[in-house]
Amino acid sequence: MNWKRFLLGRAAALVGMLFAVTFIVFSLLFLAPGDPAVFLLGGGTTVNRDAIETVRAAHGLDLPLWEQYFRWLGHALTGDLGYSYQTRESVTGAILGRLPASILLIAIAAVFTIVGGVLLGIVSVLLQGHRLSGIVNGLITFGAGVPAFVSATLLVSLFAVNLGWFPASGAGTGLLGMTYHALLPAAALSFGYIPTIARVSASAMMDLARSSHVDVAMSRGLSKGGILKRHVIRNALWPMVNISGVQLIILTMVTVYVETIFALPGLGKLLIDAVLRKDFPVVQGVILLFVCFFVLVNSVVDALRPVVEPTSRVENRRE
Amino acid sequence: MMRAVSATLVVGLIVTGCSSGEDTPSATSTDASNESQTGSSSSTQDSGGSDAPAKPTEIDSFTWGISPGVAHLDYAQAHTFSVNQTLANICESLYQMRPDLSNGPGLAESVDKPDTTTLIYHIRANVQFHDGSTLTADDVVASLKRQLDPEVASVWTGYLENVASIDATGPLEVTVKLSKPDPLFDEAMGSAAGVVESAKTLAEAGDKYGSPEVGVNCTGPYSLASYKTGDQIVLERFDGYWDKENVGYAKQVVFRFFDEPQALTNAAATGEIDGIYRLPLEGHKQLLDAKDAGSLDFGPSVNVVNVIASNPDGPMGDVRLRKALMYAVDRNALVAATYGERASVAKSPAPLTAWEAIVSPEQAQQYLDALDDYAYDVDKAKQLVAEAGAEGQTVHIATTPFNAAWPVFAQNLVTALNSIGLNAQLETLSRPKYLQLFADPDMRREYDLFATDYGAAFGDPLSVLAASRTGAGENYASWSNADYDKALDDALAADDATRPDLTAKVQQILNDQLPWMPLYNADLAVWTGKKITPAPLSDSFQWAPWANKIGGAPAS
Repeated sequence: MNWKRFLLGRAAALVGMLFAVTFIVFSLLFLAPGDPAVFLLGGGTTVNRDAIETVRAAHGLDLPLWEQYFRWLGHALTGDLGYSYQTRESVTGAILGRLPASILLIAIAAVFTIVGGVLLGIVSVLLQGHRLSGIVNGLITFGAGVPAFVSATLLVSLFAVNLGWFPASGAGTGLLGMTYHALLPAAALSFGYIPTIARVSASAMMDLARSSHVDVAMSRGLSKGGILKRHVIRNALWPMVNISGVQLIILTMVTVYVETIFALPGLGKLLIDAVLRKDFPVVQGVILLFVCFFVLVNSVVDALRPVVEPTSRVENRRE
Repeated sequence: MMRAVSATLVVGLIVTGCSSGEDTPSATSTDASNESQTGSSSSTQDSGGSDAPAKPTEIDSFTWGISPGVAHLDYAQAHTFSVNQTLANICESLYQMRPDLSNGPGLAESVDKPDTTTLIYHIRANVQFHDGSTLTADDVVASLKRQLDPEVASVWTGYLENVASIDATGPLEVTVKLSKPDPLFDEAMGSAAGVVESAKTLAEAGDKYGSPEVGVNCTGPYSLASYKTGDQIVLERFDGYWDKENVGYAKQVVFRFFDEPQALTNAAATGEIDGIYRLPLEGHKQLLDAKDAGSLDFGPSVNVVNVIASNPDGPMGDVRLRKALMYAVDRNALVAATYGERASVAKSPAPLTAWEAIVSPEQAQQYLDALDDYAYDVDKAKQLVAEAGAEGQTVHIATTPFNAAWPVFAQNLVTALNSIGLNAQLETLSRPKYLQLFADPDMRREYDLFATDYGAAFGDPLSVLAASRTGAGENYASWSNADYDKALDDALAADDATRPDLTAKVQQILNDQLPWMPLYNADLAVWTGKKITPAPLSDSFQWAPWANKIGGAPAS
């Protein structure tokens, strides 16, 4: 792989994507019903038209769409993401304040999802033809059908309220405390996504198990475990890594459910609240961060391909 | 005139008893101190733990749950239960509201009223702000004038609309001139309308005042230690507090934010939080059963849920249809099915508690008894619809899942309207969009009906009734009635002795015209965990310090 070319390509794609996504999001928010000036004035109380116009002018909300966008973009390019209409705090401060809880939540959920999914996939393959196979497949199907807000409600009721093993709410303090607080929400978040990785992993491994090189290995008398490890899992890594990257991005986008139920101060809730209140600067700031993260995840996944899928190196050379 | 109380947000209204001239607060320190440690006399104890006054002990900290979270701490825009109950412990007003909703001395030790349009506030000496600076008249002037700044867009301007001037007339004396007699201005000085902030802080903070990064600098028993949006606010005891008898028992108070009622309730049941003011209906049953974790107490509330006839050009612009709706809804059954005994059918937007702040309980009840209760009578409702020739007309209703009771009431409004020959269309809005109804008159006209949970900002029924004056900011019905405006002016201009009767006349017109259709008055629900002594059981929690009255529960 030509790393220089790869990195330059990704950087160009990132810039283009940031520009396109922020403009589209800004435009959609601009066109959506509702006036951010109303929320700036506190919402929930009647204010007169003069006050609304004063606030609109003060924040540049009376300018045309393109002018508002490029005004924001100009500031953003200098590192100034502006201030939240709602809280009056800097967008950078708001994001940094929520980042630790979100990183822990997503990281732990990703570990649960990937490790759990791959293990469940392996178990599913190993149990092929066994009478327990139906139970495992049933669990996978059930898990895939449970949305995060349902699993979160069930888990908090059982493990926090009734058994008292985990906290019911909050982010905790210190790394250990925050990790402890994030375990149950992360479990709830990952619950519905483990089956996807399990299915993809199992499917990839089953395809390989039927391939000729596995037949050769079996004919040479290698153990089932050895074959699985050296000839199946090793070669099924790429689809697993690929789907894991996709799942990681999805996990990031759906944290709002568990953040709400567990009262976690995360980025998902920050974004949704900002969208509902047309808090443009916060929406744009969080979107910027998310787009960067998504591009980073995709880039890492692509960069891993030559490592986990040796055949791709051959294809690259042929190109 | 009254600050709005919206669905998810609530503006409480405080009422003060010293509505007129001579009722000046005494020069002694406020007596709104520990008198209500266990709630008001009319409270109902649902579980043990608060039947007898408990002497609090000093504790390191306790944690309070609030929902939704606090977006900022600017007193000029303090109109939600969440902001108000937090800010009440940090920032103080000229008056300090007592648990019975009357005003006692606060940062103003007394007030002179040489005539009906002049108020001279005598500011308490030797009061420190949290930064160590000393309170002066200039701070009071800057704080009050800020409420009038159009760029600040204060939610309290309605109470200051008749202010002609605010001047420091001495180092500790502030003179307010009114353009016409207006008792509501002085009464509002016990609410966030009368909060005093350091003039220096206001000047330095500018438009970032009250934000998590800038914070506030006031005189209350607790100072702001940290503020993380979406998570929590931490307060620290202010040892320089002027009222030495009411320095807090807890060294630290944490306000944790919750978005979902269930999350809030779970945190209470598991002991992660020690208290909640205005526990949502969804949590009542779970916490009534959780007797090992604490107690859930109920007391009188200043808030009434009303249905607003928001579009005067639509079918509900016809008073006959508004009356028909009142007759068609079985409010007794609905209240019983949702709140049980924890709410009562309301006959007026002005709650009994607001009346009781200005007249005896017996007189207050008489004023309400004189109103038409619009008892459930479907036949009468159908007759009114027929008289109006409105059969088949469409009525658009906006609602939001503010709490578990609202969907029930909204659906019953639909059923009731359909049962009397109208065609009701229900639209459920997100909370933020619903809140826009309160700020946007044009949006309100897109719907014929929507509900509001509106509270008295202070102990005076006029604080609620004034909202329906022609052109008033919170006249959500865009209603106009010359007789009503005249009656309101008469009441506001009257002396203390005659004002209650004149106020009752105002209320009578509202009851007959129903631009606001009162539904119910739900009790104030307060959760207290085992670790701490009970919180004051009064709606004064929105305006007067209360966390300083809570300490560790004595070992039993």
